Amino acid sequence: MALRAEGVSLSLHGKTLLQATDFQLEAGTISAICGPNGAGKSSLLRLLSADIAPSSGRVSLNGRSLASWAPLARAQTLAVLPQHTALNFAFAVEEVVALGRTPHASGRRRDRQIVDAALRAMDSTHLRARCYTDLSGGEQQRVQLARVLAQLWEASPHGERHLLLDEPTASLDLAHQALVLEMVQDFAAQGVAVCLVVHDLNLAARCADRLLLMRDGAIVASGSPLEVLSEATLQAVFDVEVQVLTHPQRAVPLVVQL
Amino acid sequence: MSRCPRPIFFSLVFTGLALAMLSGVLLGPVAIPLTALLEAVATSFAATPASVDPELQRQLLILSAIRLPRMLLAALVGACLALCGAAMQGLFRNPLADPTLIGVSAGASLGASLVIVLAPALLGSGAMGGVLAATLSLSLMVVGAFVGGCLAVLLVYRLATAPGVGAPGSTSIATMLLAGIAISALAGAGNSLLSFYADNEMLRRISLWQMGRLDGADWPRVGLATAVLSLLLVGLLGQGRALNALLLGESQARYLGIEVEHLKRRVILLTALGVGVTVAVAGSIVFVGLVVPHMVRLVIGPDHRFLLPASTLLGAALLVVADVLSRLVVAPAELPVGVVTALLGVPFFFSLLVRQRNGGV
Repeated sequence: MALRAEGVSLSLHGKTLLQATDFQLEAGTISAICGPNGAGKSSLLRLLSADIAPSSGRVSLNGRSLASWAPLARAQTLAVLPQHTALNFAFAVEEVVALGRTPHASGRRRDRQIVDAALRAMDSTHLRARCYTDLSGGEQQRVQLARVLAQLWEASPHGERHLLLDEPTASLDLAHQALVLEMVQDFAAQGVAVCLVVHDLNLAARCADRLLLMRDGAIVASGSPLEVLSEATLQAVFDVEVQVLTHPQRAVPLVVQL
Repeated sequence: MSRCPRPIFFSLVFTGLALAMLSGVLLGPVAIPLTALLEAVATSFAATPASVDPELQRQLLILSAIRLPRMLLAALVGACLALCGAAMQGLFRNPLADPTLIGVSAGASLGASLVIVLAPALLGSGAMGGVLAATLSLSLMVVGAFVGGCLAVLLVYRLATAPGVGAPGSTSIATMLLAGIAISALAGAGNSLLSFYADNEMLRRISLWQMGRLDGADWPRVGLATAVLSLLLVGLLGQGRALNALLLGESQARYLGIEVEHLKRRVILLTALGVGVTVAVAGSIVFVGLVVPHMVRLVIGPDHRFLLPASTLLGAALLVVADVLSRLVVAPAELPVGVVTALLGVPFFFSLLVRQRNGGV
């Protein structure tokens, strides 16, 4: 079961973006993918979300080849938040969130309840009647998050649910970053397999059960944050001097750039 | 955001359409009294007995042979154009995608002109007479216009959404409009070239493309437009949710379970067919496909489940009104209806451009 990539590689226009990578997303856990720009994080995410087909290797979702899934059934099982969403039509915020219910036939009343709950989870209830295009970048990101949450709100008839988020906290303030982490942990507690691409190592360390470091299209380290976030590994992956401390209150590593 | 409740908006548009259709039948160089219309409805346009006074008979003839087909054609063409405009704007994820601006009408007109000039050679002119020949050449024109329109949409879509153009998941407005200019120029050159070789009758019909007009309305055209509008309604009205999801971008729509390639193919084929038919029966009538969906969006929002039917109704009403204006302004002569829609649409288009430049539409 779960979402699994076996020996996937990806080349576009003669350039290798990803080389023979194995990766598995487990139900009820949070995996975080970190790495420098151009390391292949987003490429891996796009392979996992069936956006592009791997040049070699195979991706399977709940035991079946990802490409063989009917789009509707897949959308009930797998939700993806890309880095950017260009929406320049004047939808109301609640209408944008309701788009997340597109693959479901749960009825207007139930959809409404779910939209309300997803907006509440993203602290965006007060935005509900606002025009999406008038919002700030961070507000738009929260609305898009609420949309993918609404998509996976209820158990899927097609097996475990998977949530892929590409830099979900990129334009959020500290309070809302914490809110996203909380929400992600809630979803994982319900059995959803979550995968985040993030730049903030400390954020990743705080919430992830498993951390992957990528560089030059390959996974170079994988394991619990404690195992992966060592000074030597980080210096090798990011080419920067860091010191790894322990978080004053939580038992997680804290990376400080020197 | 303040929006008008949808039921109110729909009832207003329905009322407006009914009033427009009524005035489309009654108003013109010869004003027809309501009593004549009632009489016509009562006898359902049957051959009237000789005892009826000749004035009434004349009015009934005007109604059934001229006013009614013309009003219906205006309504059908307006509905087709507005529906196609709304669907196309969803496909391009851009509210400026109008069939005339992005070259679809031009491509369709070139296709239709080609057919007009080549058809006599292909069919052997004069071999068939009367209604059959007219119907056949009209259907051939529709095929030509459809193929021309299809090629134009495909080309513009490919150009404007090629990877590397604009932000991911969006279409490039500049490329889209520039491609429209290029296609329009090509079609203009093609039409000029064809006019050079055309005889008088062909010339008259080719000149139709320069500005749309409805004075050629007859029952075969009404029948054809009815058939195509029905096809469009069946094929597009159910795609509201899918088009809404597509506004987020192609990948995002795929993540939401939409079969994007299927949807794109459907919208491209149907809008090309719709625009092609309107061009074949009425020439290129500009801005209806741009202005109508935009007005609807301003009032009830961009949700395609309601935008598509509302645009269809409002487009029908507006073109009927524009046609009435075109008959009244310089009566007893008349303006081509395309000139009226252009005069009304251009200021609107400018205001849209300004708003788009200032961000947000």
